[in-house]
Amino acid sequence: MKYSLWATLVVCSIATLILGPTSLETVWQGVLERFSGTSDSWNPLLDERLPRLLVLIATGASLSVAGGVMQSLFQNPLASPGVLGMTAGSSLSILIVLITGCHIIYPFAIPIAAIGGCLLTIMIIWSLSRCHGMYHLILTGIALSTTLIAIHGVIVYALRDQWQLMQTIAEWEAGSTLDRTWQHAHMQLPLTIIGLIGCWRYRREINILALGDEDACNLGVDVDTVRWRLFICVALLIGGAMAAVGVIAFFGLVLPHVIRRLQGPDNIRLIPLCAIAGATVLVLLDNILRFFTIHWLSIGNLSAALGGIFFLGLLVQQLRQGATYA
Amino acid sequence: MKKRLFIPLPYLLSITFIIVWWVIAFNSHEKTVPTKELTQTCTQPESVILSKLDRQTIRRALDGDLTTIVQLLTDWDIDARLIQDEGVLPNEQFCHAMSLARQLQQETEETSARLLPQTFVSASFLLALSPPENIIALPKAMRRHRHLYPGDKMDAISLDIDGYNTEILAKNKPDLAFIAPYSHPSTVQTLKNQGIELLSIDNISSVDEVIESLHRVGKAINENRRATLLALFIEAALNTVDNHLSAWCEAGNILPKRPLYLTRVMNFAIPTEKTLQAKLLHRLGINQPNVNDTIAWQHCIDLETIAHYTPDCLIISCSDTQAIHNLIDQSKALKHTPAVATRRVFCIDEETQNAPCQYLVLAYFDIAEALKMGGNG
Repeated sequence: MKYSLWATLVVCSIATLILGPTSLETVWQGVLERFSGTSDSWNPLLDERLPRLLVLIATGASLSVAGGVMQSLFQNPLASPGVLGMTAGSSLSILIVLITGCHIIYPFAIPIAAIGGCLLTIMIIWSLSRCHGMYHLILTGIALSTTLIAIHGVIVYALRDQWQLMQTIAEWEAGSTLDRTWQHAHMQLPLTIIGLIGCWRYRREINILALGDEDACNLGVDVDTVRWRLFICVALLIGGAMAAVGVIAFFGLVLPHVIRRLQGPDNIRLIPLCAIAGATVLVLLDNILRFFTIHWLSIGNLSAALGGIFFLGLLVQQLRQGATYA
Repeated sequence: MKKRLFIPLPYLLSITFIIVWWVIAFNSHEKTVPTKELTQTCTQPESVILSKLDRQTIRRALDGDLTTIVQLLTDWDIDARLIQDEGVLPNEQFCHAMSLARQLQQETEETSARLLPQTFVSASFLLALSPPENIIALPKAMRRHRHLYPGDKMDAISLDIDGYNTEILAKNKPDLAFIAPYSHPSTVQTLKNQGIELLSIDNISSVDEVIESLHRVGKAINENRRATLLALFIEAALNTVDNHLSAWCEAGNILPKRPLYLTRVMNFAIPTEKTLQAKLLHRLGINQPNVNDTIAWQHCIDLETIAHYTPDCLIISCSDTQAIHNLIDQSKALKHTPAVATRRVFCIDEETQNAPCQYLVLAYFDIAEALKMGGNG
């Protein structure tokens, strides 16, 4: 599975790099000129397709790993970053940036707001519930998430007459990979790298945490510290992804769940597989949208639609087999 | 104590890594500072033969001002005869328009039906056709667009259409409410329950549909003649813009060969053939790429596709000229396109472009003026 995913990722990446309106010959000539130092003019491959590919890989890997880690931490296959309100916090802070128009003067306001919103949410949840165990943590997360979504709704309703702003919000919430530049890639990559390294670093501890907090403590795991650091890693992954691409719904829920079913719950195998699978699927979806010129769908719409259908199919299959969902 | 110093190390390392990456990446990122104004305001070049086409005067006529309509129709008819030896409208229609204008000028305005426009389009028509005292309320957001809709008339109408003042609106006893297919079903039901007659104005995506809707509104409020006059004026105005453009070309000027019309919210987009803009562009002879679509109203377009199209003139419908100015200046992708290299990038008012009512004339005028500016005259 790992090798087939790698192969698909390589094929899709090559397709992303070579497919486009500009002919390959022109693109290649521009690349040679750039590297020989004879021209510094904009090149579709180096300045548009390559950063887009990096953003897609980083976003797919981030969302999938974040979802996988959350499912392991909560020992719940339906857990996702949304459960702790990270997505809602990030969305709300980006909404505020869009309303104030800061992004027009400072283009990096959106990424910073996304990460800030995510981190602030997790800090509030942690400070409110750290001494009361996992159950309270989830409940606090759900309560805060609901509150943040409500505030988001209140703001959107209050500003419903401003259709330009509504259109901007709708476009952002639908997710988009149009015109991703090196700015997006540079903004996201360090966050993704730290987030992924953090998750990988604690892969064994995540496995032990699945036994329960008490057993994990007895086995020498500093439960609070590990959990807190993993939350920060997830916040970095989610914040970076939302800032770079927007809302990609269902991705962090379905993909890790499917991989867990196929490969088992061992996080030593699960985390790298989630990263590769996430990157592969997102690059593939982007290629589908571009190759078939499907303009009426965004990548967020497509991933949500396919994810939802796939998840539903999976549930129906389980029900038919009479299996319990766990 | 030693342990305390040791614990934050992973955090410190992570934060340092992120900050160093960002500092290196964004400090080395070349910032292009705009050296001179890229976008330009559309202005009417001097014409030695034709009457001056003034946007504000056309707007006043579209607001329903009869004197301005008569004056412009007369001027434009003379212009048309100077250029093409025939009037701005077929003779019969021109005479009909002038006759209607004279009749309406001599009549005193009578109080007629009490009107409640739920949509921008119907409100826009009503402001031109009916005195403000007959209009009970306006869509709230409309008041923000004073540069497009007549501010003095809007000020004379104190009420806003809002879900919370249904009772106040009902107390004013509207006779007729104008709704759209997308109106909220519960609002429509409430209006029906209040015994108000409803008229639905369909989605408008062509000049013919604007004219047809205008006639429907005119007929519904018993202002047929005024609606007919405004419809004839719209037709004459569009013809006049065409005439001025041909005269400009005949004077030795050349229009851009590959102009590209874009809209901008979060991304750049091209309006599809479903839109009114596409029809106006088609009338002006602008052939846009990738516009065939029966579902979407616009296609998002990335910078690579724009650059690959190599436009020699960019016309961008947007609400924030400065933001577009900064974006284009900093875009390496667009830097070498003929349009940006020769500084032929023009921002036009988005509200006007998206108004499927009588103000489509101004939308058409703005695009035509941008084309002239983008030409090499």
